[in-house]
Amino acid sequence: MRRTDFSFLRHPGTVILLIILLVGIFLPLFINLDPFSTGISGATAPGSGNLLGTTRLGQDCFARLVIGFRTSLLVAFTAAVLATIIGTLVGLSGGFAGGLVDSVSTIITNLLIVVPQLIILILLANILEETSLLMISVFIGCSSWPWMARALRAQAVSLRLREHVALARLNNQSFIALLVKQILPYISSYAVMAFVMQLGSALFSEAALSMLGLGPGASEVVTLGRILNEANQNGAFAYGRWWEYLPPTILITLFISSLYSVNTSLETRFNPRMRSR
Amino acid sequence: MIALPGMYRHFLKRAGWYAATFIVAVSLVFLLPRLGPVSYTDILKANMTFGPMTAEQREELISAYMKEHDLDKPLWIQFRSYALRILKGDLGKSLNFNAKPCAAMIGEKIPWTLGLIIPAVALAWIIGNLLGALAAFRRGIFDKGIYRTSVFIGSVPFFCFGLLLMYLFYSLFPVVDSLGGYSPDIIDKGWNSRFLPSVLSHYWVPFLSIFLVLIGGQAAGMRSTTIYELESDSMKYAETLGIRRSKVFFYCLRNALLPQLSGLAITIGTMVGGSLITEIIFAYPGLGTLLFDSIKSRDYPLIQAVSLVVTVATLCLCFAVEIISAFVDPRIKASFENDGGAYASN
Repeated sequence: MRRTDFSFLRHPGTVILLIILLVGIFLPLFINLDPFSTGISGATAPGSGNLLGTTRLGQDCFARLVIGFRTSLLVAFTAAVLATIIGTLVGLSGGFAGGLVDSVSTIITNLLIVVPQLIILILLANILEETSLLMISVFIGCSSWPWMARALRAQAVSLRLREHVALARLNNQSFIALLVKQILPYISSYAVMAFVMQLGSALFSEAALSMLGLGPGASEVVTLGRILNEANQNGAFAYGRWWEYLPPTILITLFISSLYSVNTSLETRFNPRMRSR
Repeated sequence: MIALPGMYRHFLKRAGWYAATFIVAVSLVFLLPRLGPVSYTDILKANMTFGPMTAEQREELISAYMKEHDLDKPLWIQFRSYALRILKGDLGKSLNFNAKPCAAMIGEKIPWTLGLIIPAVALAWIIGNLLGALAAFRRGIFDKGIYRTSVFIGSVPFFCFGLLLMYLFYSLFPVVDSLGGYSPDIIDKGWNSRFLPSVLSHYWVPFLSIFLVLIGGQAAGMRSTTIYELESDSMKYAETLGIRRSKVFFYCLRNALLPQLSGLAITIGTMVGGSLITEIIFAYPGLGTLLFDSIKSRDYPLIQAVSLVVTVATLCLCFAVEIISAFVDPRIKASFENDGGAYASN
């Protein structure tokens, strides 16, 4: 009998990631966090009443951090799901169908790889007067799939020539059935890893976009990028009020780095050849 | 060095591809801001600031602006005039800042950005590859200590690492006195003894925050390529022949470096985006900060101009890296002799 291997749970990256996710998602359910209401206190350093201090407007930094992370995570998750779906569809259909479909999808993929994603995001975000969270997720999802499509195309091209695929073809399986039954099983482990990476890069993209001032337009929204943007605008960078920008920075760093390490451990799990090293 | 006709044909094809990408980029930059629910001309009108003047003067200036940019004509005429202007090097006029030409504003900022990115990328490429090769070849401290650390730093987003360094060097140990590219109290910005030291003292933190982050990715790629090379038959043969380890290392390095060079081309876009954000947090007077200011003031012509310049610069850098790697890598050249460039077009 095959036992499920839970050794990845002992990985420090996984532990950090789980803690961040659990606290970020469930903490607001237990304590009342108010990230918006302003106070007359002005900027206060951590320790004096508020766990992580307050912003220049007197807003609670800790509440902003937790709620902001939650919102950012939601945006990143939506974007990553979208990017994974588009990337898989474009990569697989291009690599597997070949011909014109392949040429067109390869051209679009390569084009989007060369043009900096940030520039595409800036142009997209400028379309709307006021950008909603959903639109930001869609923009990020629509601009971050090319890497994945490229890698999946290469795999699909090599899979296309395998014997079991030829056999399935002889059995008159439809194109969709071929993709789902013959190709997808080989791709799924890569798709999972790519999704994990997309999650990290989407969180980063949201932060970058918000830093530029192109984040969610509504005032009653807080994301990690928005905290950084407001810290910049409030002069927290220039006057060294580190408690306004350091906690979100460390949170993004920890989140993305642990995603990387989870990805590496997934890779060693999925790819037996890497286990010995 | 004798370059083969087949290779030139390949370059011509690639140049054609990049030209097509350029056209697509111009169309995107032109079209995307016009796709929104509010008409492009209305946005422009709403955001124009020409300083204190009467309503008539303002109307007059706006209609002059519209006429000059053919904004009162149908979309395809607008696009034709936009494309023609760009080919002439005219990137339009900014809505703010007294309608200064965008090209001049960008020109002022480009040296700052290039001065930051090019040394950081070049140095990170060299150090990262050496580190990756040493980690694969020598193991020990290189593999466990330095390599691991650099890969960890490499996984940190550019601006996060920049903010961490900012905390370290501006708040915790204040060694740099102010944000920006130089001290704000310097008026005479030339090659003089006050300005240059100030520029240097403001340079190294933004530089480090790009450079250190880039090392990890290069080192990781190089380590796996070097391991692959070390296990190849030719290297094993060289070792059995009793060739000195240092010489084997050199061969290995040479073989592994070249794919790393062509690999650089596809990561340039990410690097450019990352360093633009880094500029913003340090208020460094380059293109990133200009982009930030233009977005803040909703200066559409300037946003479009900066986006276009950044894209074109990225395309040029990628093409340059492709050409260089084809000339220095004998395998690419050989593949043109044998099978028409299968190696180069991966």
